[in-house]
Amino acid sequence: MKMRETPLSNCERDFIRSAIADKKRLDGRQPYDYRKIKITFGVDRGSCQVEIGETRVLAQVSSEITTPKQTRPSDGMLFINVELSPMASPGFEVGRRPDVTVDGNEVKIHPVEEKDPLPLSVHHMPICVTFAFYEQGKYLLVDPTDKEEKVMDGKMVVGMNKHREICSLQVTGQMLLLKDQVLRCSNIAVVKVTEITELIHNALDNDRQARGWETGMQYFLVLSLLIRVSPVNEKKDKGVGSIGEGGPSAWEVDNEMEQEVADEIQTVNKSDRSAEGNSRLSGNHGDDSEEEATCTLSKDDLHNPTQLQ
Amino acid sequence: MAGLELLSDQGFRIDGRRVHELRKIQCRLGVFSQADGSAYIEQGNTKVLAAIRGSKQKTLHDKVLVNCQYSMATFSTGERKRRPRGDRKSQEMTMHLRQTFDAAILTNLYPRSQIDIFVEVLQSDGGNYCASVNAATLALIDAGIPLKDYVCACSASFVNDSPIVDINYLEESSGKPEIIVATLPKSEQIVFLEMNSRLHEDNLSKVVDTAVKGCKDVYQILDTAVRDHVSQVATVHGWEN
Amino acid sequence: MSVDIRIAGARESTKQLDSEEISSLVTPGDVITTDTGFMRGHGTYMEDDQLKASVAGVVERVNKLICVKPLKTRYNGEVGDVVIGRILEVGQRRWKVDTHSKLDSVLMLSSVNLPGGELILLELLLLLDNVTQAEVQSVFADGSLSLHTRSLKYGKLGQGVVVHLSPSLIKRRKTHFHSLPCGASIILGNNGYIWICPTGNEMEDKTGGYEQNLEPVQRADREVISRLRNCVLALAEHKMMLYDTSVLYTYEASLKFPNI
Repeated sequence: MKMRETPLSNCERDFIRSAIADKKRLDGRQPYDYRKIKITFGVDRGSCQVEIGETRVLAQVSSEITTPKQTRPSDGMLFINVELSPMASPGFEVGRRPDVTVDGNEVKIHPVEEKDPLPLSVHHMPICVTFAFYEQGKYLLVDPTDKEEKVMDGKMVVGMNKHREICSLQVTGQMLLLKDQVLRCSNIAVVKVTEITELIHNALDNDRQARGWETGMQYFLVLSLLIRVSPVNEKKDKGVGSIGEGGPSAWEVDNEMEQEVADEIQTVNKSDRSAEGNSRLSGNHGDDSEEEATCTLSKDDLHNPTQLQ
Repeated sequence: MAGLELLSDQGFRIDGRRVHELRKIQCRLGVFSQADGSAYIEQGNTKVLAAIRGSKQKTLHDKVLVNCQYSMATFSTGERKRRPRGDRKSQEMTMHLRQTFDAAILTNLYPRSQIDIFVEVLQSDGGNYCASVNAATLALIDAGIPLKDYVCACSASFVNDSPIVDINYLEESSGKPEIIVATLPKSEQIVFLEMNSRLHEDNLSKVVDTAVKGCKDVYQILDTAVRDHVSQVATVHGWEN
Repeated sequence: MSVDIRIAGARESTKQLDSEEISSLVTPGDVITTDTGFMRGHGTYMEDDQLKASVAGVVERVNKLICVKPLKTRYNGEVGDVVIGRILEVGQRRWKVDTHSKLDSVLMLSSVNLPGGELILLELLLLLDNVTQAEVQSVFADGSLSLHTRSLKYGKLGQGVVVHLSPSLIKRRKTHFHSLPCGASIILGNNGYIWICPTGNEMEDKTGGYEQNLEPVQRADREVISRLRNCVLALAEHKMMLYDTSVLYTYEASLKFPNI
């Protein structure tokens, strides 16, 4: 079971809140600044580590051949396992599958030595941007840190790709927002997403060159996981009152809810075979929760234009 | 789900509605005598019961603890549902409902007590969250629990360049964007907002507007029902003064 | 628990004779007044200099004070109210009593009239689940009630029936104890709990109910009590106010149906 998080002290809480009111943040960023993002790829294919400020996420992709679901024989399956510390951060992966030729009933899987592995085809890459709201939406921060999340009223998570398409959007917490505030956040998200996409592409380019593969061959594919950690209920704003005294809930279900993890999957797979994405994420804040989610990719989830109609 | 035409050229949807039309809403307050408050709502083929119970000790010292239990009857969906509650979806829904009502109930008026909101989906045809929120609002009003305002929820989608309101199960499962909004209709403040599937940022405003408009329409219907209910009882009470 | 679900459309319109909307009816979020000269009472809240309703009900104005009275609510105690309660918990120096209010009420040992002035073990006086009748002594800041049974009128109730109704149905009167001519007594607690018992039991002997009379109640008395209970429930079903006359009239009217 998850250990109860150490609550922030009242003075720390007041300090952060008053700093935010002065448009200052603990780490010296401006309200709309993102933290520094560092992307490093592992030696093996399909492994990647992303650091956003002090948040560190490791992702690993692996694949295997399985029987597709009877109801959807032409679709593959995608599984995502998430093990995480209570932090919200996006993770990125580079993965590829071995090439497969189907000849009649015979299915041949080429080993990596024989044929170059093919990249998974991902048609778009959603990036997650988190906004934290304070004082009933009066103050807004982009990419809040752990401490800032602890004192916020509520947050909004926007998943968006570089084509300015919103893939997921969620507003949670005990606060009231106006539509304009939501729209303003999505506008900020556009800018941030463009920046981060650029960053990832650069990182991938560097990786490609480092691996010495022929250029012009599109061989990798980015699978992006958006991991959101839903806010824990005790984080509600209680003004100057003491914090962290969220009462024990009467139903055990709710205890689990607090560490509820939502997984967003926006990825793709070629027909007739399965790919399994398996990612392990560990943060530097202690492994105190473990969640698993399984998701079946259906044809509807594929936004590959060639496959739709 | 190719081939399924969500919006015909004439502007009709699968169930014969136009883009801006809600499903038929029918509701009733005070269906249980044992609970402190209760309500039943039908939004099209989605049918939801909600009940409120209060009063328990040893909770938060400065405000009321809002507790929710969302469950779906095993017979509510097309295929038999294995677990009525406790699965991932129900848990998520439970949490969303709790957050929604935590923001809307004047929680500081009931220190050291707890309000339990029970929501049971009897039949599911899309918009479960919306119907649950609307039913729970009616039940809270029936129980006489102070609220800032009604909480009304409505969903919307975006098909063929036009936003459609209050989507049903078929429209929900078509892979088109789905946006769910819970608002306080008088001030148009958003309490809860969730969206999935891809939607271009330029259209966000339009779709949110549609959903918020839907919430206001829902509010009109709920308000009429509440007023009918209250005036009916108040007349016999002889409260006109 | 009976669940009554009908499709709203198929239901007959149960509209009352004149159910034209009452002018002072408000629903949550409605603006009652923008005049800041008024005082905020129950069922209202201030936002942006506007006084808004937080519950659905009828606006009541007493001088500068504005309240909204909801249809159905938990019991809001007032000092001097007569309440019927059930013992929930027996503590060292106090009892916790369920009085259908938001929080449990408290009956302190010091607020109890001890029979004969002797100190008797609390457990002997009021046991768990015993029904007691008491008066509201004070209301705490958080809204919970402190009760007392200092008068010999109050105390433990022996043999009889409790009926749970909405507190708003009880009409406030000078007295809430009535010995009805039909041979039973009724106590209409302000908290919506009603006690019906045979006349001549503890109400007369003034012992505070601590000397229990456990003799079997006569069949005729039991029939009267049951009939009274049904009358009370029938009144509540039709949202009629409860007081001695209304109960008595209903009882008399019901005598036309001897087999019910």
